[in-house]
Amino acid sequence: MTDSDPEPDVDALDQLDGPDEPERYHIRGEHRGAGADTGSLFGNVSEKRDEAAFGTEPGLIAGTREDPMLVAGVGYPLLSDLALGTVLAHRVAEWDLPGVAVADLSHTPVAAYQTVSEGAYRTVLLVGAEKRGGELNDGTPSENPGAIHEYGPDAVAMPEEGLTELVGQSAMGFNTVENVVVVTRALGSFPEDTRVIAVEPAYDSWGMNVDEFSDPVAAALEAVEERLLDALDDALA
Amino acid sequence: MDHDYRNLPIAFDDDGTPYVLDDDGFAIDHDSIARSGVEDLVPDGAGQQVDAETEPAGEEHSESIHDVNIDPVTRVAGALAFHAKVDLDNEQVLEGHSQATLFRGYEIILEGRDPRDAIDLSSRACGVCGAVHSLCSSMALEMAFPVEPPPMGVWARNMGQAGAFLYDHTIHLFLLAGPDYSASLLGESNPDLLETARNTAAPHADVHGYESIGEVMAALDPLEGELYLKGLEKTRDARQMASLMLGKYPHPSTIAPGGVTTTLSRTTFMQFYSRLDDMFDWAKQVAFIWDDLMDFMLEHLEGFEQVGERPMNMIGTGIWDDPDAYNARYEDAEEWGRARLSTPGVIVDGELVTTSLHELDMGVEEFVDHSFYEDWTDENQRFETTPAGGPLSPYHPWNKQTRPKPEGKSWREKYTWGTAPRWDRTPMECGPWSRQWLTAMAEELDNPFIEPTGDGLNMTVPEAELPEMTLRWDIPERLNTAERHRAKATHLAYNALVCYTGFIEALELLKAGESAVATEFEVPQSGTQRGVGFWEAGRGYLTHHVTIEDGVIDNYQILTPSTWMASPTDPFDNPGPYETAARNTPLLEEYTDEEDFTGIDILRGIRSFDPCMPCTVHLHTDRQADVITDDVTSCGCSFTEGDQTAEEAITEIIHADD
Repeated sequence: MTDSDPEPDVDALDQLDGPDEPERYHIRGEHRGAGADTGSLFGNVSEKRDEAAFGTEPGLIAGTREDPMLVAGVGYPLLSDLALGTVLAHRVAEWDLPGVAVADLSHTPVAAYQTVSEGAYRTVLLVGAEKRGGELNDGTPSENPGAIHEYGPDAVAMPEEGLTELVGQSAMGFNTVENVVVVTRALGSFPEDTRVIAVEPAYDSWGMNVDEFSDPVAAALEAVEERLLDALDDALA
Repeated sequence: MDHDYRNLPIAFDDDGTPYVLDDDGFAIDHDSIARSGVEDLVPDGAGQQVDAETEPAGEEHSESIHDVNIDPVTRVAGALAFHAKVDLDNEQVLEGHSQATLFRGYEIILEGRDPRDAIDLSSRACGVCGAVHSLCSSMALEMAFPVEPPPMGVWARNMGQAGAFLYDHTIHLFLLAGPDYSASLLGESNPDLLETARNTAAPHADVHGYESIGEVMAALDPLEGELYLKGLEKTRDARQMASLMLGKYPHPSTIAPGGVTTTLSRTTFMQFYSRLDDMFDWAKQVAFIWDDLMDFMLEHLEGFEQVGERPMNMIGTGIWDDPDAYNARYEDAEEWGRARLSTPGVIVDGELVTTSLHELDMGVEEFVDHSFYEDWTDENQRFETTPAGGPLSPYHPWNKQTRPKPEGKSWREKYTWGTAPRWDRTPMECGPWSRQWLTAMAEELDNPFIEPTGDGLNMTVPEAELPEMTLRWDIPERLNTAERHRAKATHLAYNALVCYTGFIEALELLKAGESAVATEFEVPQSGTQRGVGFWEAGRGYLTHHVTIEDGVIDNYQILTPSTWMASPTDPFDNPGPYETAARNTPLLEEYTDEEDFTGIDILRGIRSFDPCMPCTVHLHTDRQADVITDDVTSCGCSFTEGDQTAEEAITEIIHADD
């Protein structure tokens, strides 16, 4: 794997005609009822459902499978920093970029593989949280919370044993960036121009909002968006 | 129900009104409890008679006896571990203990929250049951509020859920359980059997295209076999069917009390049907593939009929409502339950004892004698009766409190985060087989494509590329691994026909202009309300019991199929279903010593139940491992060596970012 420093290219935003501050799709809390200090967690997502082909062919929330580029967010809503990919996918979807399909891969790696392989994309950008060290989902921080890693899918080592079990698990959950890469490579392949952009989480257990990010991950979001735009800019060029 | 409960102190008067029999009420008296029949089940089966003599964990045992730990490593979606003690010389399983290794605490997380949160939060209980919890939760809430969904909303639920089951069952049959019968695995565990399979013609080659059983086994080879890959591909279509009705799968955001919020048009239904048409042929092929495969295993692997065998005790809440009958009211649950496309009920020792959701609900209790929880019955019982007036046990979910207490870890004391649900104080199992079994015996279902005959089902699957076929499923004479798989395979057809029924009904509703999918609701802001969702998961029985107090959740209890089946031993010494199934399983694999023993027969038995995360199971033998400590401390809630109580840990997690 290789790490690279983010070098934001602010001009790319203008070139791609996306909004400077994309409207967030998630819940802000205004829905919360008087009788409780919480409220329906996904109201706004449901409202958007009419516009988005959630989980249906071709499994996209923006664009079409004929588009040359795919931005795919791998994430777990309600698991704090692990929701990163989901939230970013919806941000990118709202930018309404021409030629860019967007997938919310908040389901399973097997479904993610199927969504990625459904189109004939020339470029795939896979984005999400990636915990390094320790166990997943135990609430402990990754080695370097907020660090951004960018690499190609070949940088992820394929397991020498237990691939069948991993695919089986991945039909039900285990929805991590690494597993999406492994399952897709085991069952098919990525296009040559595929990049993974991953952020190390600081907290990976329950979050009571869709984007309840820790400070290090919240601070990294803008840089990740810039990397996505850079990558899309490169792909367009 | 034409007779009283066998073990619970509930009787019925001449008018059919239930009452508590005596002053002791539901107090537990070990001596009066009938056993589940485990000891009498398989006279030549392995293990059960040895159980009482088995030494406590950790003591010395003979050279041929080994601890087998089946220990999945799961972190996000739940975990099951299994400990068995096996006698390799005598090819017997001596002891089995089922462990839920994670405390996930949904009940505690939900307490005090807006009731609507339960739909999205409880959905996260399982990734493969990606809609059942949100649907079940919405139904519990619509009973509590109350609100009644319009017919199109009911059909959208039915069709979405049946589509999801096509996904779920295909995954289990080909990605999870299928590899256990693949050529690559049998080549190692039972090479002679594989050779026989290659020389055995497949009786239904004309339907599925595989000339020999050996070809079927080769097609089941993981990652490269034709059936493995086709199964994987079919999960895409089935998931899309579920998504068309429910917006997204898993974890749809369109589920609400009073219906769904999906936009459904004629186009949606046509997209649904284009996928369903393919499923008709897939269902025909899958039914005959597994029919041929299981018949071969039963004929050529001596003892296979005992693998995973249990007494015929099954429970099901039923699923797929008839909108003409369903009104979300507990008082009317007997009527709308019997009108379901899958009939609810209970089978004890092979006899159908009830199809009443009232009697089913009254008979349910949860025990924690061998679980990492504290008994809660020291406090006053919250509800003495059901909303229909029937008596309730203090151990009933509406009276249950979740009090984590991970102490006293040993096989004799506490060893799991699962509870021990019992119906009439008897262990129960559930799944596609219980759906078919109950529906077949009850003969309540009136459907043009699925005909219950008392002793089985006739399922008429329409023509697609293959001609129309009537698939016959007979109620089996034994309940074992083979029959669970056979039933699940035929259940694809059942699900496809539920989808087809819904498709026809939904188009009629569209023609009539009845396209509303939801009814508006309000969350009551004062007083006490109760509700229960009865809605099966792919693996069977599922209930959500909710109590709302002044607009927020006061108590929420989820009872899943895997809780029933992965349950530990109860206070009456009845082991849980996985435990019984393992103890009844003979060791049929070919091995020479501990080193090359794989435990495939135990795995086949447990996997036939389709436990949550079965594919994560890997098996190793390790005489030194203290599986109790290792597994429990690997729980996802970061327990340390006992300095922090579960409640403190959970509270910390919940409020970590406050």
